[in-house]
Amino acid sequence: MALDGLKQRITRSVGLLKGKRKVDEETAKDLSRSLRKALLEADFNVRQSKELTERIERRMLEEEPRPGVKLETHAMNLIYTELVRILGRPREIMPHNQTILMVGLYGQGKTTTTAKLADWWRRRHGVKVAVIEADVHRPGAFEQLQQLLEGTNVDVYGEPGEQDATKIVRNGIKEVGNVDVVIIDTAGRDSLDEPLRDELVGIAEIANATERFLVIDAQVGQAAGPVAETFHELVGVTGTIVTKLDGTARGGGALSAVSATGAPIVFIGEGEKVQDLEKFESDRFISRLLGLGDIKGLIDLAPGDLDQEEAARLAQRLMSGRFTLTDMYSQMEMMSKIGSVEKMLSHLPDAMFGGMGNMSMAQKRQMQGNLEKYRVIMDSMTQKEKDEPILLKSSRIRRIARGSGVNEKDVKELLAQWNRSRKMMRGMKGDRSFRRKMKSMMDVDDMDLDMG
Amino acid sequence: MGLFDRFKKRFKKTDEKEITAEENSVEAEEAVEQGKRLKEALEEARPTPQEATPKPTLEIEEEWDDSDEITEDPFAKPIGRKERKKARRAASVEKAERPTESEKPTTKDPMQSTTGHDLVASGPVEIEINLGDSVTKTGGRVVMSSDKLDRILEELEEELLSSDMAQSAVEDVIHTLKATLIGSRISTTKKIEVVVEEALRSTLLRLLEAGYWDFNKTVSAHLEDSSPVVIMLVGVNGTGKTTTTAKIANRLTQQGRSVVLAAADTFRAGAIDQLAIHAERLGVRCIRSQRGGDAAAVARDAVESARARGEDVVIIDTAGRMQNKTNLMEELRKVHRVTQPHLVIFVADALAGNDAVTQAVEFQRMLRFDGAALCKLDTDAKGGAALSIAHATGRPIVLAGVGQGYDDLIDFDPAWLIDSILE
Ligand SMILES: Nc1nc2c(ncn2[C@@H]2O[C@H](COP(=O)(O)OP(=O)(O)OP(=O)(O)O)[C@@H](O)[C@H]2O)c(=O)[nH]1
Ligand SMILES: Nc1nc2c(ncn2[C@@H]2O[C@H](COP(=O)(O)OP(=O)(O)O)[C@@H](O)[C@H]2O)c(=O)[nH]1
Ligand SMILES: [Mg+2]
Ligand SMILES: [Mg+2]
Repeated sequence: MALDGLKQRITRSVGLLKGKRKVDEETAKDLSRSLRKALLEADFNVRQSKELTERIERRMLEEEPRPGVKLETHAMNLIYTELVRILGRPREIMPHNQTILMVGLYGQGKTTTTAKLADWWRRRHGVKVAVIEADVHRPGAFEQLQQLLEGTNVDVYGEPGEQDATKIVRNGIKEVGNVDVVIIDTAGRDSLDEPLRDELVGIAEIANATERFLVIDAQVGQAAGPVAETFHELVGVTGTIVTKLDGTARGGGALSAVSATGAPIVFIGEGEKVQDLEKFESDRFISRLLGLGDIKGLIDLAPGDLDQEEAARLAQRLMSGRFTLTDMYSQMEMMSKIGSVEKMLSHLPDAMFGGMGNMSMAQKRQMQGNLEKYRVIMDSMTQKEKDEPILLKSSRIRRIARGSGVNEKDVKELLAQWNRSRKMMRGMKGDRSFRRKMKSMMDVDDMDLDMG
Repeated sequence: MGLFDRFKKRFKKTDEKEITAEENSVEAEEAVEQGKRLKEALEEARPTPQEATPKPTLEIEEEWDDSDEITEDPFAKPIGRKERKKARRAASVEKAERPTESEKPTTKDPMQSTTGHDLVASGPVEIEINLGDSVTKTGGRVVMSSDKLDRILEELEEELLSSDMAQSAVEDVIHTLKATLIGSRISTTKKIEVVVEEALRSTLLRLLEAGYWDFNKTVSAHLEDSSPVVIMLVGVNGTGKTTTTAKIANRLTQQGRSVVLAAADTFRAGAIDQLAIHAERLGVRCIRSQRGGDAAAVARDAVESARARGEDVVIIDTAGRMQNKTNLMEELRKVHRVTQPHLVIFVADALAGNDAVTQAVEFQRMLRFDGAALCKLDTDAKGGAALSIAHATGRPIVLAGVGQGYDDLIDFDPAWLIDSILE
C-alpha cells in the first residue's frame, strides 16, 4: 500500500522517543531530522518538509504532553495535527446540478477518474450522470471513456476526429440535456504548453463548471506544487483527486498540490477499475497513515462488498475477548469478499490483526494464499471444534486433515495462527486504550487521539 | 539564478579559513582522520551487494494455446497524417534529425551496447567522487569539518531533492561528497566552491553516462545479426509507453526500417484503439486482439508475422502496471518469455518523485530492462528521476520524451539534464 512506507518511517521516527520522559534538544533534533527524511521520501515539498519538521521540533520542546500521555503519543498527535492542517477542511460534493471539469497533467488518470466518478454517483446516489470527452489530443480517448463506462447507463458524449475541444463541450452540454451531473474530461497538459493552456481556458469558459477537479498521480514529485498552481490560475481548482494510491508512491506531491491550491482532496483512486474509487476524509486518511486504522473506512468501502453488521459484530467480539476459529473464519470471509488482504489491512488498526499491518508484502501475499486453505480445513470441523479449537488433539487433527484433503501440518499451522491471534486479542482485551480506540473507530466522529 | 551562482555568491562572503585548514596544522591532521572515519562509516553503511537475480528464463513456452482472435490490420494507408506541432525545443529537433545512416556500430554482440557495456549488468551504483586535479600532493589546504561546509552541503542537498532526485540517492551523493572532501588537500589555485561544483557535476554525469548505449546504433547492431529486432516497453500506468512506442516507430520508419507494432496492452480501456490510431497515422502494421485478449499471444503473433514477412522491428506496447502487483508482473514476464525481446525499455515519467526508485528496482528485478526512456521532460519536471533510476539500477536512460508529437523523442543527453538541474 502506498501509505505503508511513510507510516513505517513515521513510526520509526517517533520510536526515537521510546522510554524517554523528557525531550532534550538533541532528541528533538533527531526526531525532526528523521521525520524530514520520511517526508522527503514521500515526496513532500522540500521547503514544506523543512518548515513542518522545524515546527514539530519546536512544539516538542515547548509543549508539555497532557498528563498521562506518553511522549511518543504526544509526538504522534503533533504530527497528526500538522498533517491535517496541510490537508485542509474536507468538502462534500453533492451530485446535483453539477458540471465538473477534470483537469491535470498528462497520464494522471483523468479519463479513468471521470468514469469512476460517473459510476460512483450513478451507483450510490442513483442520479443521472453524463460525461463529455473533450480530449482531442490523445488518440483513442473517446474509446477509452466509452469502454470504461460500458454497461452503465451513463451517457458518453464525444466527437472522435473533431479537433476543436470547445466545440465538443458546447455541443455536448446541449446534447446531454437535463442530467444531475455532467463531467467533462479534458486532455493532459502542463503550464509550459501555451496552446493547450488557451484551450483549457476556452473549455472552462464554455463549461461554466461548478467544480474543477485537479487529478494528480500519487507518484508526482516536486513539480506537483507549481503545476497545481498553474491549473489554479487557469481554472480555479475546487477539489483534488489523488490517483494510483494502489501503487507504492506515497502521495506527498499531491499534498503539495493541495497546499498550492487550497482545494482539498475529495476522492482517491486505488486501481484501474471503475469501482476503485474512494471518498476522501482527511482525518481518516491520516489516522490510517499513522497506523490508527479505522473500521469506518472498511465499512464505507462499498455496501455491496461488505456486510457492515458483520464488521461491527466482529469488532465487538474482539472487545469481548472471546476469539474463536469462527471469528477468524469471519475475518477471512470478509477479507475474501473485499478480495485483497492488503486493502482490508490498510483500513484496520495494526493491532487488530496481530501486527499484520507491519508484515512485509511477501508475508501478506502468503497470508492471502493461506486463506483458501484455511477455509477448506475449517469446513471439515464441527461447530464445537471451531468454537473451542483448544479441543483439537492429534486424533481430531488427523481426521480433519483427511476430511479436507490437506496435511496434518496444515491443520496445525492453522491452529498456530489462531493461537497467535488469540494471544493478541487477549492482550488487547486488557488494554484500555485499545478498547477506547475500537469504540471510537466504530464511531469515528468521536475520534480519540490519545493512544497512550 | 542558478544553483552554483547562488552558491558562489555565498562563498564570497565566506572565509576560506572556516572551511579549510593550513597544511601540517593540528586541524588538518584531525580533518584527515575524520575523513577516514567518514569513509569507513560509509563503507559499513553500504548494503552488501546482493546476488543478482537471474535473467528471466528465456525458453519459449512449448504448449502455447493459439489464440484465434488475432486479426491483422492490413497495411493501412497513412491517412492525413496530421500536421504535428513543431518540436518545442530546437535542440530536440536538431537531435532527432541527426544523421544516423553512415554511423557504423562499434559492436555487434547483442549482449553488448555500442559503448561495450554489458547490457544486462545491473545493480545499485556505488557513488564515487573524484576530486580530480583539485587535489594536490603537496601544499594546498586541507578541508575540515565545519558548520559552514555542512550548510553548503545541505543547500546542495535541497537543490538535488527539489529536482526530484530520490532521497536515498541524494543522501548517498552528499554523504560521499562530504567524506571525500573532508581531509582532502585542495590546491590553493582552486576555490573551494569550484572544487565542489566540479566534483558534483562529474559525479552526476558519470552516474548517467554509465552503461549508456546509443539507441539507433544498438538497433542496427541487432539487425545485422537477425530480424526482427524485438523491443518491449514496460512501466507503471500512464508514463508514456504507448506514445513512446509510436515515437520509436516513427523514428525507425524514417530511417527506412519496416516496423510492426504489437498491441499487447489488452487490458486498459481504449488502449488498442490508441495504438491502432497511431499505427494508422504512421503507416505501420499493428497486430491486435480483442480487448481482454492474451497479451503474450498478441506479442508473439506480432513477432512471428514480422519474421514471416521479413520485417525489421517489432515494438511491443504493454499495459501499464503497478510494480507491486505480482500477478500483473508475472503476466509481463510471460510476454517477455515468449517474445525474447532484444531490448526491454523501462518507460518512466519525468514527473515522478521518489517512487521512481521503487518502480525501477522492481521492474529491473522482474525483467532486467536494458535501458530507460524518460518521458514528459518537456513539462515543469526537472527530471531528477533519471538520476534515481540510474543510481538504483545501474541502467542508463537512453531515450527522452519531450512532447506529444511523433518527433518529440530524442536521445537522452546526460549533460543536458545535469545542466538543467544544476543551473
Ligand atoms: N508532454 C508530454 N506528454 C507525453 C509524453 N509522453 C506521453 N505523453 C502523454 O502522457 C499521456 C499518457 O501517455 P501514454 O503513452 O498513453 O502512456 P502509457 O504508459 O501507454 O499509459 P497506460 O498504457 O495507460 O499505462 C498521454 O496523454 C500522452 O500524450 C511526453 O514525452 N511529453
Ligand atoms: N493503478 C492505477 N492505475 C490508474 C489509476 N487511475 C488511472 N490509472 C491508469 O493510469 C493510466 C492513465 O490513466 P488515464 O485515465 O488515461 O489518464 P489521463 O491521461 O489523465 O486521462 C491508465 O493506464 C489508467 O488505467 C489508479 O487509481 N490506479
Ligand atoms: Mg485522458
Ligand atoms: Mg499505453
